[in-house]
Amino acid sequence: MNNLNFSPLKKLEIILGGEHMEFATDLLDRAGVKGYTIINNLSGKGQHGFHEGHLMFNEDDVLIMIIAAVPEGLVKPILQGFAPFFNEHSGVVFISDIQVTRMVKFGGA
Amino acid sequence: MSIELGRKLSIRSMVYVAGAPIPFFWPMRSFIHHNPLHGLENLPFDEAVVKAQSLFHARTALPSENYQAYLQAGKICRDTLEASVSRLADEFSDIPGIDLQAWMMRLLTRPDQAIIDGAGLVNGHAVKAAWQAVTADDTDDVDATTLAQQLKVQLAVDRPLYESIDSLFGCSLGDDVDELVIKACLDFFDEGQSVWGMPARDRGFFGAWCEMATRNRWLSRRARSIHAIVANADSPEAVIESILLSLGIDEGKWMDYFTHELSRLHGWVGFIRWRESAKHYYWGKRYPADLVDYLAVRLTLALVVLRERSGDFGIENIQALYQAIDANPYQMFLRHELYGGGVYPAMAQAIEESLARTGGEASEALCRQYIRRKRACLSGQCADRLSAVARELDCDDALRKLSAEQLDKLLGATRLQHKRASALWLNALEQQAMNELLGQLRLEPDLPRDKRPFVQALFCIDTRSERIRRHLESVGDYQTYGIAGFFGVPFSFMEHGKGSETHLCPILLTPKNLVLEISRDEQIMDEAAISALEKAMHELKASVLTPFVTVEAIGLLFGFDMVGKTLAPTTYTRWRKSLHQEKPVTYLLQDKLSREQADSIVRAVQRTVIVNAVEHELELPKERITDDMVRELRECALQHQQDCPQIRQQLDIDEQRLARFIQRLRSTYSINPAAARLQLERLGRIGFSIEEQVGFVSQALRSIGLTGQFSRFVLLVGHGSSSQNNPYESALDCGACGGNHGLVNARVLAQMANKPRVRARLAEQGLLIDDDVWFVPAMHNTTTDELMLYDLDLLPSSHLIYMDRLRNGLVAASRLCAQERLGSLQPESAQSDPARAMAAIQRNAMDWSQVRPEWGLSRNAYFVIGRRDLTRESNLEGRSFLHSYDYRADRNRRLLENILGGPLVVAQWINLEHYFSTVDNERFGSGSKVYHNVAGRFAVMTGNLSDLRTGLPAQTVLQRGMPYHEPMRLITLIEAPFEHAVKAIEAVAPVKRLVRNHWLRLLILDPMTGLVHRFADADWEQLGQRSFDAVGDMPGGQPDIDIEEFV
Repeated sequence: MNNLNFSPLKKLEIILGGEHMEFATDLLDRAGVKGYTIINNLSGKGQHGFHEGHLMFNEDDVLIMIIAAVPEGLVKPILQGFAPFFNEHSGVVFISDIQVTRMVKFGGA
Repeated sequence: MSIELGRKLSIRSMVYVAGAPIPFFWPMRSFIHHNPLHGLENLPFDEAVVKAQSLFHARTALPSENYQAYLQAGKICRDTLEASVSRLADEFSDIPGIDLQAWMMRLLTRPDQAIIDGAGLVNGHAVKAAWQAVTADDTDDVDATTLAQQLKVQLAVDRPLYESIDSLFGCSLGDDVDELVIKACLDFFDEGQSVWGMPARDRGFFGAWCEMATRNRWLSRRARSIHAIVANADSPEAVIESILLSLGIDEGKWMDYFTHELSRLHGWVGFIRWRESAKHYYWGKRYPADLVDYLAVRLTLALVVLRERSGDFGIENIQALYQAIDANPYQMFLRHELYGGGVYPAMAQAIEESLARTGGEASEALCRQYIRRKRACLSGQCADRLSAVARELDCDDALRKLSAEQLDKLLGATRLQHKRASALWLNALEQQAMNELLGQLRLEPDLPRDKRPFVQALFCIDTRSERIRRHLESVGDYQTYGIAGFFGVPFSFMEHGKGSETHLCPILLTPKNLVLEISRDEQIMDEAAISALEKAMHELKASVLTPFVTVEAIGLLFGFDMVGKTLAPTTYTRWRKSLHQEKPVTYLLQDKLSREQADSIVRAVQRTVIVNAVEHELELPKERITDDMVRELRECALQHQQDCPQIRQQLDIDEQRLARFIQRLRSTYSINPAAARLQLERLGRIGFSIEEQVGFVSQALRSIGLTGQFSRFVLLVGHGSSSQNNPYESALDCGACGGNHGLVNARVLAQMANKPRVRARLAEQGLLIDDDVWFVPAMHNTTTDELMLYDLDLLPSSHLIYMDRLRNGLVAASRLCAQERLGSLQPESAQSDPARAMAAIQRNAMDWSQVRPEWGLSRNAYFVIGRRDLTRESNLEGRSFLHSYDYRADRNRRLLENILGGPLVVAQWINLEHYFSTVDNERFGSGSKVYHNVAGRFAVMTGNLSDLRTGLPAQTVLQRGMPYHEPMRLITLIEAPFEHAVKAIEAVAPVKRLVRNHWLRLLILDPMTGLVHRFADADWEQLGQRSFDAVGDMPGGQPDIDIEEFV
């Protein structure tokens, strides 16, 4: 690989309950995201209602993380799409700046 | 109109969240008992039922008369009731002269109407005025603006607009919209019931519906209206957005609006929600549909109906509604009173007459008069009822001396008691059930056995097994155990002669292995003449011309069938069955195929396909095709060669044609390397490896504590039911097997456990099964109570001499069980003879007019996890799920966690399904079976057009209109040391949530201390001191080797 062209993209890391995985991937598909990666069986701590404090690592509460790299223009629509969901359910979305070399895989020219 | 991407996604997200409280509806072919409030399980039980009341417009507890009747019958624990009432009374400070606890108890147990009717209209002053027989003209607080404000709040803007109009104008727009939506759904979601299917369904629900609904616009005004709304939309989200904007709904309220729209037809919505989440559902893949489509269709139809009737009301959006209210508040108030369902009856006619005339001024006077009289009436009623109660409690004088503020307090306490009444009753009902269970248990050390039992039998935990187990144990030296009905082995099953797979496991699991059923005799089945005739007749039924022709010709044959089935069901059904070819003896392919076997299967399939392809495409007869040719062609296709000169010569065709043919072999007939790999992969799913088989047998036996002293026969008894003409037949089958019968799972586990290789490996692990132990699969027919053994041709000859004793025992147990059950099904037949009872019960299973072939799981109340010795002496009347468990063989709590996470959750779903279907059979249950019609082949409707009926029918949970099933939450008892049990519960998150939110009642019986612990409110508490002794040491030296997880 002689020519490495770096193109900037945004990375979205979406952490949510495992039972909503299909909803989230469906939403990403409809947004036109070309692909994503899913990491399973995460443990974690949050402040959502019920898991009363002493549970730091409860491995049966399955959390998943979906990682997707998207062009900047898609970030706002995707976040708008997830907004009503995260109003009712626990989870977070992290947005960071990344660079990729094979832009064509991510929907760019 | 197009819609911005972000907006589109957020609408989709809103619909997803809005639909969450509506529970899934599974197709009835495999009926799944589930909690109708499953979407609300993150809330505590008491809060969830309140929310459900408003969401589903349903009752969530029995009317008080039923509870009062239970109290008379001794089913309510009075102590608990009084204790909770006194806790409630303590929340209020003293009222002079009134014993608040006695007051509340009296209200609770008094069998007449509630004291407070209109919330807020009656207060202390009004009551005092009523006693003094003074009618105050206190309508000064009533003026145009407050009335208008009050109305706008009541007609909350997140309700569908047509509901508000219905309550103002007395029309039935809501029902009209529902009907149109139901018709649209029936057309699209049909799964082969109708002969003519809806076209263009592969475009998805919304696309297909738009296409159909906007046809023939030149003929139909409605089609034109629909077209006007959907014409420029490129997606259902766009339509939703445009409709909500034109209705003028505030964006922050959209989600609540969606929830209310969706909860109107919760059967259909539940089905669509399930369907979009079932990734492998054949119909879902062919004809996709999701909730957004449904909502777009529904909103469009609602708007069209509104616009069609706009001439009558002039209201097409929220702003117009508010304007109408502001313009004429008095008239609107009276309208709402009259049509909204809360009218004071004496003045109803006057209101109607006034509304028929026009005139705003007359309305104001009438309005004030109405309010005055209504208040007076309500206050008068309230005052009278208060006095009546006070007289019974001998405090009437004290009551009348109270000031207005003190009266207000009393009224407040009364209201609170009314609100909490059902929770108080439920608690007391459950406590009584708990006491009865605990009174029957027997905690004693294991009795040492000198010889092994004659037979050990593993039954499903189903409540119906409790009866047969009791009777089986009473007729001989039988030892029974309870285990989940799928025996811990989840798999996908392909039956002999069928082309599709069935998942034989709880729906919580997804099976990874496939088991095939293969006929032992390699015969080609000749079609019997009778079945050919049957097939022809069935197809004729679907043709248009049939009625005109065949009634005369063959109608008599149908009549023969009907007469036979009705007048002599037993005899006729047996005769019919004897005409059919018997199902061949089969065996189950459940071992993994070796690589060579799989390869040869793939090769054989490819060869057959090629032969057929040559015949079809090149039009050559079979004789011209030799094996060598086929092999050449196959290699050609697989190795990317374009040409095969020998073949060309032999077949005498030109190069081009051959090349095309080979290309077709690759693409259309899938003779290519990628497809071959896929087929190999699929074949790899067949069967279980030896390690897996060892794991399943080991887990099954250890989880029930059966690890030594095995009997000669170990029966694995699955269960199923048999009934005729019953869309709910799957509900009577085994829930652990996904709504199918459990025989196949029994056969699979028996085959595994009888394998010498498996036994050798188990012995290495420390689980010793002697050579003369034989596992026999069996089936318990819960409708007829028959116990039938299977795979007897595999039985070793040494066991044959015992078969007679075994058979006699099973028949005796069946008859005794039938005798016990018959009384509850047919109270009028006093059959004292077990044999006759058996015959009567069997008739039930074959009678196509029988709406109640068996009671099924009705009256379920308990779930006991522990040794059989605990319940051996108890008669639990078929009300308990029993899972065998021995904590001493489960040091790391894995087995208990499995039981809690799997069978307990399934039982809780069953219990709550019965609970809610009993308390409100019309909304949560499915009403009477007599009016049911099958819809689309996956559900039932009442009448010819209604929402899909969810839940259980009246015949399952009610008897002569009164509840047969006693609605209470599942009372679960775990026999294990306290810490052990609590840690296991905490480790399984869903169960922990259920316990903390009080969706089930949990008791722990600690055999080491003899104490019983109960989870109440927020923590564990001890429930008195039981005189139990500690249990002795484990019998026979059981090894403690940790097992691996295979689930």
